[in-house]
Amino acid sequence: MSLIRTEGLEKIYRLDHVEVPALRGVDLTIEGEEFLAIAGPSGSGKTTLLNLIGGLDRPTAGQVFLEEQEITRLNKSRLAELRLRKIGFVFQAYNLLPVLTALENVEYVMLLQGIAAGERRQRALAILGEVGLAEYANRFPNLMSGGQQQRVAVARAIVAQPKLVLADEPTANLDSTASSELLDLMRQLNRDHGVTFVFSTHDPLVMERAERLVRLRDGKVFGDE
Amino acid sequence: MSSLRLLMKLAWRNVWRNRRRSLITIASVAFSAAILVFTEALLVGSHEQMVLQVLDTHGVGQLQIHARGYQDDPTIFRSFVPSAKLLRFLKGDRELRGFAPRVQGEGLAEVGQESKGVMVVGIDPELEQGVTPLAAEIVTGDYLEPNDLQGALVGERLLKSLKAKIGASLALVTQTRRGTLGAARFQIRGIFRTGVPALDENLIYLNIKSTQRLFAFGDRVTMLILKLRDPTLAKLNHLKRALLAQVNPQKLEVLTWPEFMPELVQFLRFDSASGYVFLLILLLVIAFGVLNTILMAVLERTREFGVLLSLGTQPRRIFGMILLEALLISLIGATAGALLGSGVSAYVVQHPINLSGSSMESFESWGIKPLFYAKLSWGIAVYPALIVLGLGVLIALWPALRAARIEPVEALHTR
Repeated sequence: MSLIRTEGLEKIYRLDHVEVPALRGVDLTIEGEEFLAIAGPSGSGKTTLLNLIGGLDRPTAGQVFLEEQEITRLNKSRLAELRLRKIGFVFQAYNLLPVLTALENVEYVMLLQGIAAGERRQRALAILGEVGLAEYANRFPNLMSGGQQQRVAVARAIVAQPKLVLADEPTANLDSTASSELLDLMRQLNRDHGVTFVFSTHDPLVMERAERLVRLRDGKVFGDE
Repeated sequence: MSSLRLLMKLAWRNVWRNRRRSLITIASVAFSAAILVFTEALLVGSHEQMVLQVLDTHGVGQLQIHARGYQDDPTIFRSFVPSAKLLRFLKGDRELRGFAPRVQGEGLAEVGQESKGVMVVGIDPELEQGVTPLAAEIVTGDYLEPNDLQGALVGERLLKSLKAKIGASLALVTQTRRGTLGAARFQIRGIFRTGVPALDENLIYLNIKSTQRLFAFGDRVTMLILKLRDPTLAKLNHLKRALLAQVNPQKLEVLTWPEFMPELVQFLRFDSASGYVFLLILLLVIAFGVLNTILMAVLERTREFGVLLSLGTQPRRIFGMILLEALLISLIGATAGALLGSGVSAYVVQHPINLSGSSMESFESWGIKPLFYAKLSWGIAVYPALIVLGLGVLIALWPALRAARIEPVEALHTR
């Protein structure tokens, strides 16, 4: 059973009566525990594809299956539940909740899952240790560097033990050292926790580190290495 | 429970993210709640004082007992003899400051060549002092002695109409309850001024015994008027119920002041209504203030809601969080406002506002002193604050709904 399968995925945005096709029939299968990069120039449809896989958006045509369950027809509430249980997100701009500390940001998803306070705290501290930020647990995001914030974001994505982590250009705002460290971390988590990582990028250095590289151009897959 | 705590924590910290904006909103909520409490305190306090003053100057007591039907058709043909049982009950009631019998009927007054239609009121000079301030309203001459059956007290304006003077002889002609003519001569002993023109130009007070003779009443009276130590409406209604158990309701009617002076109730309603229009406008202003703050807070955090949604937060939880933020702002504001408003009201309870000299003629024509009193009670302090609190949350419904309906992808791409 594949983890993710898309069939004839199409997405057309309508901007001021002009139709802009972002995806034009993407068929893609992703297996469990992959470490996969989706590459392509900007406008190639990387973000749109990640959004559709993550159930954040609905396709114009085609289907997305997560563990062979079709998710494109689920309502908002069911999609939220699905994201909560199975998918973690890492964003380009980190997007930590500014009013919560690093520890609270990491705990947040577990709290939504209804995990008891003691276990929550223990797991959050453990994962912050794993991403090398144990001593930053009580810091607010605005007092951390971009690289540190992104590590917290990765910790938040992974702590609830999802099947899949979707990362949209996670290194775009980081310098090469921080980028490299983040990729090491993601790779290590991929191996240690068996979590599938799918990340988009247009950075050749990042592409090199991927186990599998899917290239997009003009909304279509044109390379799968 | 813990998820509620996180929701609280998030909402609380969100409120203080834009400290200045939240403080300004809280201050405006507090200020409005304070004005609401104070206005209500002033309205209730002044109305209570106003009622007591009007009832005093009109000399009507706070509760009246009549023959049944007298309120609708006040003639000398509706009178009654107070039973010994009723009088015993009234004497024994500790809630009562006093009670007095009245005989009342129309007549024609003549002094020399001048004559005028008047209202003749027979009083028991001693008992009357327990219920009305008539004795204190004498401006010239003397109040009636208990056994003075010849004396009459005349209103200041009536005296002028009759071109009479103190000590003058006054003839009264009436119709008796048997339909015959009653007539007697009295001497003007005192002149009174209530300040109410309609009373000062129409009333003549006599000893009740002379009046009973004049109208051929025997031991009958037109009414008993009662005054309480603590004249709240609740106490009045309580006493009314107790009295109805003492009398035969087929023969007698027991009325509280709102029942025997409905025009006063109307006046108070009108006065309250204009106050409430002002308060309504004030509430609208607060509502827009809170709406502005919450809406701004929602709009500038659109992207954050996108993040919350993508993490798997249910839209209804985001809805709850925004409402909670509004609740916190309104709760702090309303509490501060209730305290402030109560504080100012408590001061005015002790030190009524004096408005004499300003355009207060309409009040004075009712015999009301131009003093503004306040009253403070739990209800007066708490209800306006609760209204402000409820309004704050109500107004946040729309921004909260907006936040909950955000599409995650669109929200994430908001800068």
